[in-house]
Amino acid sequence: MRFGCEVLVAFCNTTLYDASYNVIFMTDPGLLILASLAEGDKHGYGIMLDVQQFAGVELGPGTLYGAITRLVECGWIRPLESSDKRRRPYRITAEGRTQLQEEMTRIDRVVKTALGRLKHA
Amino acid sequence: MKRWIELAASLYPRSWREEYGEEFRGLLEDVRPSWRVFGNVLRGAITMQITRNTNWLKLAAAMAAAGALIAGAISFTMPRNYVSSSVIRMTAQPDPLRPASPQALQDRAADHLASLETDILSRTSLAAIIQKPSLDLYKKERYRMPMEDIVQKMRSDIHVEAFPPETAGTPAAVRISFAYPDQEKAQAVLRELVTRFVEHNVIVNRNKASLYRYFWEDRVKAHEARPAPAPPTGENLEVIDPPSKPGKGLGPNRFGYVLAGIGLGGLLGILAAVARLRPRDGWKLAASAAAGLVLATALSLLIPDRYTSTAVMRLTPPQVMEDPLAIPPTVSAAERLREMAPEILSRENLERIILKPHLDLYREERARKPLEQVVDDMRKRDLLITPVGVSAFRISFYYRDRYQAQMVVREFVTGFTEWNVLEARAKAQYMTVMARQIEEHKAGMNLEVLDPASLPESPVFPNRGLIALVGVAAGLLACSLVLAEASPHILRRTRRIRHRTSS
Repeated sequence: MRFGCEVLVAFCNTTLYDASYNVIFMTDPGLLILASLAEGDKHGYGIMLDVQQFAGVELGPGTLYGAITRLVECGWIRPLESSDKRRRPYRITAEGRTQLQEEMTRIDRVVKTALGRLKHA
Repeated sequence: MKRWIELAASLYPRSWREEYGEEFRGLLEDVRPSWRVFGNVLRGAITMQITRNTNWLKLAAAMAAAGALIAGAISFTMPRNYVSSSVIRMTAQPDPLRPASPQALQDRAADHLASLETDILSRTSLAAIIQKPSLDLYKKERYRMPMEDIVQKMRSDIHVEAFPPETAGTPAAVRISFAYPDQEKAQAVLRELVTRFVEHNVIVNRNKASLYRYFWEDRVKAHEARPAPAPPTGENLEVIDPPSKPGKGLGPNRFGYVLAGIGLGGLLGILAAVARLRPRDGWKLAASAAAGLVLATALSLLIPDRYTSTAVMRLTPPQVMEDPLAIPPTVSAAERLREMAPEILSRENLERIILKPHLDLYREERARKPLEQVVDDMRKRDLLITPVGVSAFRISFYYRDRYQAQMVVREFVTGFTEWNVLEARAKAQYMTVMARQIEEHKAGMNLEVLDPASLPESPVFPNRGLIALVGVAAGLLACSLVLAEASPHILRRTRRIRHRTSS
């Protein structure tokens, strides 16, 4: 039983956890936060306003901090030291930039393909 | 509104609040309070509890409480059942010519009542009540369930409770009650049942009286001396409490529902705790459950259907006796079955049934097993003869073809009936013609078919719904085990990421 579990764990770790690791947290709010922080460091409310401005999406406090928590756990953004604990700013990490770059390239490819197909249709 | 939002924010896990609580409160002060914000914060708190909470017990307890609340709420939406009840009493009439002890009279009345009950609660009788146009019971269930199951359901809704007599000679009484979601119908059904008890009793008494009259007429003709005594009136059946109009309906077993809710909620809590580290794990659980469901369903489809046909037969003592007023002896079905079974269930008889051209049973098994073994399997696995009460017995036969199952049960019913008649004839063959007729009745019990062989409408085996549920449970369990084993790996990885981030 234990051996069977270990085999399954190994399988899950190699296929589901690792291969799809990047996809798991790349949900829409996460992507929007990364895009916002790519411009510069911002605190929670700043991100919320920025996202509303450039994407027209109103992120609720629960959604925003759920995504921030996940992005911090992934190491794609990190909190900065601040004297005002109520307005702690966040900064995108190098790994976060790479993820954002890859995701944007993928989205760009999808958008271009879709637009091209729409033109020919 | 602001207080509600703060309350929702306080539902976030403590560890999360320690890390982000201050800035989250700051953000909440900046945003305009609204129900939408409250909903968003509450949803975030629940998600965070599930994905981040490391206290399995706490999460399971919270989910169990939520499950109990939901189940309790559901139980309040369930329809109420209305119970109508009535009490009937049976009194055996004392015979002036042949006095019997109060205990004997009481036993006779109780037996008579039990016999009526068997008749009235038989499949044929209940099916007639269910389908009566003025009642039209279990309408919705009848669309999706076979009549056999509906009758079984009705039997479970009818409750017959005997009052144990306090002293010898106290009349036998029973309370009959019927539970149904419709108040009027519950009462109407009970009226119908009580009417049937009374009518049936009248018929039985009338038959007994005629037998008695014929018997004495013969005696009077023979002796030309004594006048024939008046026929007895038989057992008196009184309705003590007429069918009551149900008052306040009985609701579902709320305690049971809440308990089930606690159990289900607790299980879901554990599963959610298993999937707490990554949302992806929830999908894994669902995928495993689905895989289990598919596998179990596929397996259950490989198992051939089995149908069961049943018939109920009753043994009663002969009605024409030398003394019609004598208390009839109790016939033990189990005892009688012991006499009949060796003949009916003999290898030769079962072989004959198996090989009958219109039945041709176990063709595949016969191709690969000796007939002797097939007969043994039939006897041990597929054929079930069980006593029902004191004087009746049920014949059930399980087979993959429902029509053949019914025909086999018919064969057995015929076999038992023939055996009974043949035995009586064999015992009476040395008597004179008149004596032989009387002795024939004396020797052989009256064997009545209460429920003829039923035509099964749905297979009793395999229970595919149950198998599919087991599959889902197995899938969830397997995935939980895997995730429980995987948790340390994930934790290590998360710590690595945090370490890297902070450095």
